[in-house]
Amino acid sequence: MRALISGQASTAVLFCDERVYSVTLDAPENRREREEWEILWLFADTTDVEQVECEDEPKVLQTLELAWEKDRSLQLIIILLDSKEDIELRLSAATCLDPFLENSSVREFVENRMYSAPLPSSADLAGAIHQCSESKLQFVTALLLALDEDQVAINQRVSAWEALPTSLFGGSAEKVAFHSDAVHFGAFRVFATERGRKSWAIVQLLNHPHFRGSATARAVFKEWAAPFHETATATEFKRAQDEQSVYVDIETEVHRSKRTIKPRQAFEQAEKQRAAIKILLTQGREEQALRYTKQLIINQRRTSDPEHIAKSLCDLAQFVKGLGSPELQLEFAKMAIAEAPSDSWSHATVADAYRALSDYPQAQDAYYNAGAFGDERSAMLGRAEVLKDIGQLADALTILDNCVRDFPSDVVGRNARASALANFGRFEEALAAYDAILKDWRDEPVTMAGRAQVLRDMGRSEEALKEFEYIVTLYPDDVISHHSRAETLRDLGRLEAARDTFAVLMKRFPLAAEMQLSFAKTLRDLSNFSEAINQYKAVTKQHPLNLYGYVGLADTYRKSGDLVNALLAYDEIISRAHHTGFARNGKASILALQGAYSDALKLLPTNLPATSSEWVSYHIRAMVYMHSGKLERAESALKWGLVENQWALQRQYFQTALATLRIRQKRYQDSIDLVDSIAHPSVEPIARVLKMHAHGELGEVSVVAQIYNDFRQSAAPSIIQLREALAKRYLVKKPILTMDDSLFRQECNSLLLAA
Amino acid sequence: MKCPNPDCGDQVPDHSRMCVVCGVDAGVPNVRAASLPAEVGALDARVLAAENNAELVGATDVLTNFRLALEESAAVVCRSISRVNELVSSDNHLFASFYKNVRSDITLPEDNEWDRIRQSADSLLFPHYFEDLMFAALTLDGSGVNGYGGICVTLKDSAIRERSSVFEENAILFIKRHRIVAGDALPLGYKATWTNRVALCVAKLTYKLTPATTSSKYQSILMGSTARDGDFIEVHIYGPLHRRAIKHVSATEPKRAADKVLLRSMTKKLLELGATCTIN
Repeated sequence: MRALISGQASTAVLFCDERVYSVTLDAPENRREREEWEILWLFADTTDVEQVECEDEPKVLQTLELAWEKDRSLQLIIILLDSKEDIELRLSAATCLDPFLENSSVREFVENRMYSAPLPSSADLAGAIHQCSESKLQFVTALLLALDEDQVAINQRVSAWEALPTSLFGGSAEKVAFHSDAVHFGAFRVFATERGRKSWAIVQLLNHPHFRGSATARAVFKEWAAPFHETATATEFKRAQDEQSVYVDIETEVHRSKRTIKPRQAFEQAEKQRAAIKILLTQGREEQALRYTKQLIINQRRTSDPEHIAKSLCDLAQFVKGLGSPELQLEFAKMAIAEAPSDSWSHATVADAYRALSDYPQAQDAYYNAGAFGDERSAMLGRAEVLKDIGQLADALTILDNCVRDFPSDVVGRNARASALANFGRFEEALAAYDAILKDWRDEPVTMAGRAQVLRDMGRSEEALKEFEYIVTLYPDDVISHHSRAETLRDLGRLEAARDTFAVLMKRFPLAAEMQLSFAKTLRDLSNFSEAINQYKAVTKQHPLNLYGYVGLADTYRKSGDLVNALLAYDEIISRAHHTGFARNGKASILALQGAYSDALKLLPTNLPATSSEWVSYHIRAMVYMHSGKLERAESALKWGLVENQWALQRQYFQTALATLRIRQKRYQDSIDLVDSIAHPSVEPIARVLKMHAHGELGEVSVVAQIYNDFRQSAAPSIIQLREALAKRYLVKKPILTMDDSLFRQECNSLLLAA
Repeated sequence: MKCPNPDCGDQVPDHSRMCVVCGVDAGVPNVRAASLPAEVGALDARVLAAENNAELVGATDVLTNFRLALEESAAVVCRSISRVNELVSSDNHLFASFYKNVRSDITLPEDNEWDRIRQSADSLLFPHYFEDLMFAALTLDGSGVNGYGGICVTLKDSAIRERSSVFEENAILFIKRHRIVAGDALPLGYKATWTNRVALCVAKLTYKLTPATTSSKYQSILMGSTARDGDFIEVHIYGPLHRRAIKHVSATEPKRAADKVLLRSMTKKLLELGATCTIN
């Protein structure tokens, strides 16, 4: 159910099938049918109209109630602080306000605004604090006390903001608009309140979904933070020793002295319990596993130090990560922190889980804590990985360079640096980086595998294959390299060999879900869709926590054209894991194929893209525009994407999409120029058909024939179909002409199916 | 229209207040549109027809009284307590510092209903200056169109006279009834400047008058009881509202404690502004 709500107007307008009606908070049982023009009158000059999608009317009213509380809270606190208002009214305002502030979302809304400017001279903060504390209004008092303490910091931050040149924003109107965003998302508040945690605020803001995809936002925050010597790449981790952690240290000491069970016994006991829990997790019996875990903790509290309990829990967290459940990984890691709040490894594990859940601000926070509690190396590596995830390569490289400098004997940082270069298309630099590592660490498996992967990404598949073969000879138990080798066979179109290799590897590494998944994918490439589906179903049974089984299933339905089952399968994934962008992307592309454009767009994020998954979403958005005939909008989005997108693979999708549009615009040479350099195996087939089309229209029949003959076996059915249609158009004596519109449609469909 | 600057004389776009060439104030666009000779002439013809009709049915005296009453008509806007409180507090530094930043379009999705409705109205009614207009209703007793906000704010004549026009009914419904599409001109004789609002009321409402019509019925004749009919005289006010434009506020006592606090604060400020206030 769609609705427009306004907390200011305390009114919701609900759109239910063909009905449009309004309800107010004062009389929610009173539903009034409305004409469209009435909505303009209902919301008149309100500035907080939101569109929401809720299951039902009660949920809409709940959302409206929250919006109303936020609006009224802001007005009430202003009345409370106003020295011109009479005391009685101010106290009434505070009394109404206090329960609202118990809700963290309301409190944050108010704080975001109250931190955006210093209090004017007409504000009677001291009087308000006195009144509220006398009346024991705890939430209001706490907020006012914090506001009081932070006035100097607020002043400094606001002054720094005002000093920012308008050219940084693109103009004064843009600066005003950015100011609204900065207030709304708490930038002023975060800068002021987190000044004690050096650079934490700017790191958080640069990871924020609303800002991280915007180059302007990144530049603004960096310049805003500069006068305070705060940077995104700072690697100091300041830790405040608080009363709580001192208490914990004392408790630990007391606890340690009471233990009577011998360490060896305790270790074996814990080991047995962990093994049992792991079996349950493998079987997908989460609730039972968690119950056993609670028992493990109780037992270990009697026999072990908190750090050892945390280690047990982190071990379980890493195990369940391997099974494919970041949600459980987070749960175990948080339990670890509860047992040992100052354990840096536990914080790093929490951070890793948040990263897998795409919650980057929380991940950065947890990495910061890991650094503050002593593991600076993990903190730096983790922060760099998060920056890489959100497309901020330059900052990621700076941190990794610092990591390499500070930990020269550590290969992990150096590998991470090389991998980052490759992710963003700087392949030659990546190869050089890997070569430099191999000089110091000869035959280091992760380095060699990383180097081979770069070759794969560059389309140099034969060379990559040779390198993977060398690695598995040296390291016969290296699962990842075996897997990558077989995947490279797929890239080369040697599908039967790939299938047979995966079949062998599945037996050799029975716990490695990735082998089974790739086996299924290869069956799909061979157009054995029903076998592929059966294989994916088997994976979901054997590895119930691993999302990729479900994703593979959904993708297979999609690629085989069974869109009904594909939609159901994507819905299943979304219900299991809200954080997964790829399921929403998959579903959105199907909805677009079916012409349900509005429903497709609703699934896609609205913030500017930064992560790889967000760029896929943005690409799908552009494809929706294209498919629905909004070609100008599509072009604008694709051109912007080509400029801003840092991800090498994603850029190629944008290139092919724009090339499709160029053909439509009869700009054939431009189309060829866009797709000529495309080499990545997942995009290369569609690039080929576009080249066929463009060269065909230019009358270059021999080129068309060459491309046709060089086609790899592994192309998807839709691409094969397109290829054949183009061959019939250009390569036969009596050409069968498919309408231009139809070809364009097929090309768009192929891009959506490949997305 | 041509720029009023004798040294310029260039064409001023219909939606623009200022001459785009010399920057001279050409007058607010809605008032200019209502002042066009063709518009005034068509309205005069309708008024004449209405007067003849009144004479036929023996309602001339009633029409005279109705006219006199309409001379005292005012514009009323209905708003929520939140918006009115913000308006009357607009000179308050606390409000200026902390409340002005509330903005929702950050979170509105693409192709949302709110933008669609506003853009549709913009393209149909007042291309390029829809956002600059405030919509009010004409009232005789301070009551507003039912169901659009708990507070009825009557505006001072002096604050809106030079920048307001009136329209036969709710403009969107009018357009639908007359099957007008975007780009079509509106039929003439259905709008007037604020100072000529009585004429529009006469042209529209005379047929509802009978010799037995008493003054107690005037408000319900002016503003139909069913708000969904859109049957009221719509007032189009160019530009934002200032708190000193408020003449009178009437409000229903709110149910919620927080709103009661806002109402008390608002009432006090209104009295300081010299406005009157009634709470039911």
